[in-house]
Amino acid sequence: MWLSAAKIGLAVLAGWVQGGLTPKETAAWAKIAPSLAYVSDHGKTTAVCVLIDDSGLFLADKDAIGKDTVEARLDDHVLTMKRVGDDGATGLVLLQASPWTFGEGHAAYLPEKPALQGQQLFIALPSGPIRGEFVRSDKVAVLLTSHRLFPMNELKFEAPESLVGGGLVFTQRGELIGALNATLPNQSANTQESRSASGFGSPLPPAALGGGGGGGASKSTAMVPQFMVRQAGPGDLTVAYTVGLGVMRRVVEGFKSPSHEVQHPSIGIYCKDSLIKGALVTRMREDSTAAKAGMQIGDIILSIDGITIKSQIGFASTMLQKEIGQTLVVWVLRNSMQVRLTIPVGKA
Amino acid sequence: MELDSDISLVRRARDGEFAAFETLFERHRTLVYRFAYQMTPRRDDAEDIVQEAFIRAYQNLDKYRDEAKFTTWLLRIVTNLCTDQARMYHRRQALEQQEAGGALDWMTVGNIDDPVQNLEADRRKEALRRALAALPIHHRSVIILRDIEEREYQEISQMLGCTVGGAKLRVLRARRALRDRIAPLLNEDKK
Amino acid sequence: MNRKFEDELLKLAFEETTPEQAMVMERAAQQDPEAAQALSQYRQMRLGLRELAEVPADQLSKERLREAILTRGLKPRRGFNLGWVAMPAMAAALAVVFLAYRPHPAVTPQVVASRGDNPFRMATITPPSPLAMVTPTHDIDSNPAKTVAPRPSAATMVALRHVVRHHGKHVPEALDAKVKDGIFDPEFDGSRFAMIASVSHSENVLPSPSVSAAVPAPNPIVLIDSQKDGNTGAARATEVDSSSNVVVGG
Repeated sequence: MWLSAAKIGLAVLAGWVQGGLTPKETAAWAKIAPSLAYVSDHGKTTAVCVLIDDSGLFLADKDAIGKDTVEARLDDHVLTMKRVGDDGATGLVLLQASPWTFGEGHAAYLPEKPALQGQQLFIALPSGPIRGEFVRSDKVAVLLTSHRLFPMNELKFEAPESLVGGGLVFTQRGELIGALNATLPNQSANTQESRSASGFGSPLPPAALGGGGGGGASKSTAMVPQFMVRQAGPGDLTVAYTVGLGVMRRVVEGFKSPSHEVQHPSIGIYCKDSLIKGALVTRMREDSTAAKAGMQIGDIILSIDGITIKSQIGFASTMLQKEIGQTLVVWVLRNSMQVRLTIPVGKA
Repeated sequence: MELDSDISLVRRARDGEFAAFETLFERHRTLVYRFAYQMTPRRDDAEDIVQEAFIRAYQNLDKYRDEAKFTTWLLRIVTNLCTDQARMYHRRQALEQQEAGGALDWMTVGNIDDPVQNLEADRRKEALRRALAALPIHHRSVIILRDIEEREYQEISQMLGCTVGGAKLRVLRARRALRDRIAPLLNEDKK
Repeated sequence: MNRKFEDELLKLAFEETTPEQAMVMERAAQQDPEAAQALSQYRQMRLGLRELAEVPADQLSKERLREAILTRGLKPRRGFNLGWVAMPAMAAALAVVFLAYRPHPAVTPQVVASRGDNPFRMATITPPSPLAMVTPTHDIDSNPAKTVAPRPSAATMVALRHVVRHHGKHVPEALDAKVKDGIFDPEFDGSRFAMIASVSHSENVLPSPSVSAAVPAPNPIVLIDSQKDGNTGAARATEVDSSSNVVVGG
């Protein structure tokens, strides 16, 4: 018994020495680690993906993965990952692992509610986990590649020495928040929220956490990573974004469906601000539900289902709340006349 | 996404920032105009009422409190202005005189899918508009809010200063009144 | 067809019944040609009302509004919006003035009292007073002074005088006044909530804490580029306050 106590004491001490990791954090990370597979290319770990379904379906950031078929390691199992789903709007992909034994690994799950301001996070990187902090869930971003607007989570962390793009974000309860989609340039990282916070570095231990699931990592290090002390003290503050919980839920549900297809609500139009009021329709897909309902390029959308549309951002935000198959009552301004259109919500 | 809430704009306007009030005007003028137009279906009258409503709102910004939506407050002002206008110009009597003729047009329309019948459809619309305009203002306003502008009962109840159940009852009464106004035609149709 | 049944048909036509009720009513209407015809007409009425929703575009402009306001030389009244610091001083000053001008109690104090269902607190005013320019009307009950609750605070007095001076009406009555009188009453509109608040809680004469609270920090929109940030390896994000040129799909 004394021997066991001494081992626990040494383990706690080792954790503290290795980067201020508390026993609680170690336990939290131990819940997340079995969900993660590390993608490698020519012996170098390049990306991390997370198991979302016991059938061997993994979610990852498209840019981090790169190719359609990659090799990955889960514990000491080498797996072939093949891309079977792709959500262009969010940049997330679905990978099917093989060979796969049902029950291998633990599927991650999404939280019931958005994380709270100040909540501590883990960001899983190819080089191992780092700590992060949740800032807010009410940001809105336009992805210029897809022209889609999404609600975003904002988080912040001390920049590690490795790259963070495509990292996977978890709460310390082990819930998957999302993939790290974007970062603000460091010189502008001091957002209002960051400045008003009572010092980002202070509530966190100064060390970023490194190492872990790298290419040649043994099973023990993969399960309980070596949290290495940064040599240069606290890193620069990095502000990053992941897509909001509602969209993540839609992506995961779509990926887990038999078709592995993610469907976002859309009426098939593109808008810009009309300068005076509403959203100006600038482009429209020919086969869109909007076109079939009689919408025209040049129409100014004034309201959707009684909600006044003040700009194209308002339009896209309103569309996000809609469900595919729902019918919208849309008022548009056309040739100085207000026209009422009834448009079914399609998918994009 | 709302960069400036109505309440913050009201506060700034109260403090003398006219541009903040102009923002409120730009933001809500369509809503107010649509309501005013339905209440007094002449564009010129509706525009005058909207303008007067915003002027009165501006003068009385200190009376606005954030317990009610700014638009609810505005629509109440418009309702009162329309009532006032109707009283001043005896519009009601004039409209009621038109009512019989207007109502007779209602329901005499055949198949409006036929493009040739579009004129008839317009006549029917105009007849219904006149029947609506002949309703007492408290009936007319709730029909406009609920059945034309498709507002939620919650908002209507705020505007009326009553419960949601009360608002539903008032809408039902108003629909009954409208139904009764076109009843002679309904009976005609049955014969 | 009785009136109640007709009302139910109206609700059905306007889709304000539960699915179960709708099924029952539809079935009933199918079995009764008169009801079926009425239902069809009510639906047509609903459709007709919806068609009325098309309105011509307005020719309003903020320039026109500005001109009208400037022409009349109007400014927003500030009311009690003088800030927390000034209010106690103002209330105290008004109380002093009130006491100074208070006539000898030859006149029985008039009582403004609550009815059972409104949030008025009981308070006294003593007419004639230079502060109560409008004598309370029929809506305000008169009761003997001995029934009066303890003397109200100066702040309550200020609030009460505000209500009496501007409205001269019992609040619940005033709610219906807009339609009953057929006259626009700017003092009434929108101040309803303020009146209730200010009388029911004297401290609410002061600016509401919720109104006084700091305006939330603006939340800029984030644009996410396809280009990667060399330092982080993630897509480059930029915060912008204006997104008027950004094309958004949906």
